[in-house]
Amino acid sequence: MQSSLTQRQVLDIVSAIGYRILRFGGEANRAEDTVTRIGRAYGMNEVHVFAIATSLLITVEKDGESMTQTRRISRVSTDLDKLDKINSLSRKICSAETDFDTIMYHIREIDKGPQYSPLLGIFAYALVGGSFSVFFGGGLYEFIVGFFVGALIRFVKKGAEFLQSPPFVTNAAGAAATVSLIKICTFFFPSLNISATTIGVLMILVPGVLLTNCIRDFVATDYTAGTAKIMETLLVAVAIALGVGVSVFWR
Amino acid sequence: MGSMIIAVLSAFFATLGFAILYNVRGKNLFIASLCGAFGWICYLVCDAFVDSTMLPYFVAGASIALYSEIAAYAFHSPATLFLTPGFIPLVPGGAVYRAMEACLQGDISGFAEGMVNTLKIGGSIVLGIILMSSLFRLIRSGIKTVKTKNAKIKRHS
Repeated sequence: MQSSLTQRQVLDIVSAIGYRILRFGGEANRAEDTVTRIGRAYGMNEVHVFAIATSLLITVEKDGESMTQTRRISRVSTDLDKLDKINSLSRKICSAETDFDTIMYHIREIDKGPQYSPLLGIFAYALVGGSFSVFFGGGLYEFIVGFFVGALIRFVKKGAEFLQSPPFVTNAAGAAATVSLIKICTFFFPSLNISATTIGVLMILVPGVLLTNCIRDFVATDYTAGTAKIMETLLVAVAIALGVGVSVFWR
Repeated sequence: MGSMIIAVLSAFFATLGFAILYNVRGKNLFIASLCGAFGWICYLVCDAFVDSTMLPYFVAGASIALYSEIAAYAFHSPATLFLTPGFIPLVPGGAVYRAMEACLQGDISGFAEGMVNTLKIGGSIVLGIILMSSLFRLIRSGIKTVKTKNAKIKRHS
């Protein structure tokens, strides 16, 4: 297919899209696949792409000329809605040729996309904490305690992120705050089912995106990306365990 | 029966919370939340008929993967959108916690038992998801190959 876009423009587009897929919580394989498809659709003879969770390396080749760009993904900000929109944008530009400025305009529009308000974010933490406390065998009291402790964990996590603490410290602090706050709550609700509430609130800290992407990377035979994610998940688990270990002091 | 309904409902709302955290919006929010509830229903149904710890988790993992792949196909969205929140209720948080509790009490055999139990559950879920996702990849790449082959044959003749 002949394309009106220059090689340089195609490279800019695929880098921008691939970078966003990885940043918004897509799998490494999705980034590689999308970049290859768009590159081919816009007349590149060869597209070589290598993606892991933290970096992206793209070379496009046309008429014997090759160009390379790399992107470093330093901070993942999971946003599955934007991932969905980037995905449908790349479908659209693959099926019908679009000019450079329009594509870049769409990408900028997606970046500006809506996000839930901070208040709803706190409510989501509270909902997860409360629901999981019931899920693991709690009753009404466990729901109430899980609800409020979950909301407070949001502040702990946001505070840690504000201080730019490493994820390990953030998770350990979240887990430590959870067990400590629930211990305090037992003074008001002596019959509280401590284990159900603790498990319920700790579920907030589960790195869901990492876990699913890790599995899907292995399915797609991206073992490098998958192994890195396994290590990260294990580190989060160790951090949470360390935080729970604080409860030794409260006995 | 009542406790089962409560468990499924709480799985639904917990998944909803996670979907909000991951900024899933619009109708996808409901579909993703349903994924978590669906996984737990499949777990409970299988658990009622089979006397095994691993098989119900395997079935639940396979069913959420199937659900999200079908939803992804129907709504032209990435399967991660539904699988990531739906996966959360299956995470064996309880087993890990009990292992950790045993460890803190100095009960090493209890800790080892708990960790093995966690690995069994986690492995079954992951195996279920891997099986279904691989199957879907196979179907997709199979359809693509057949289509391109057909196009080539047409061009030659």
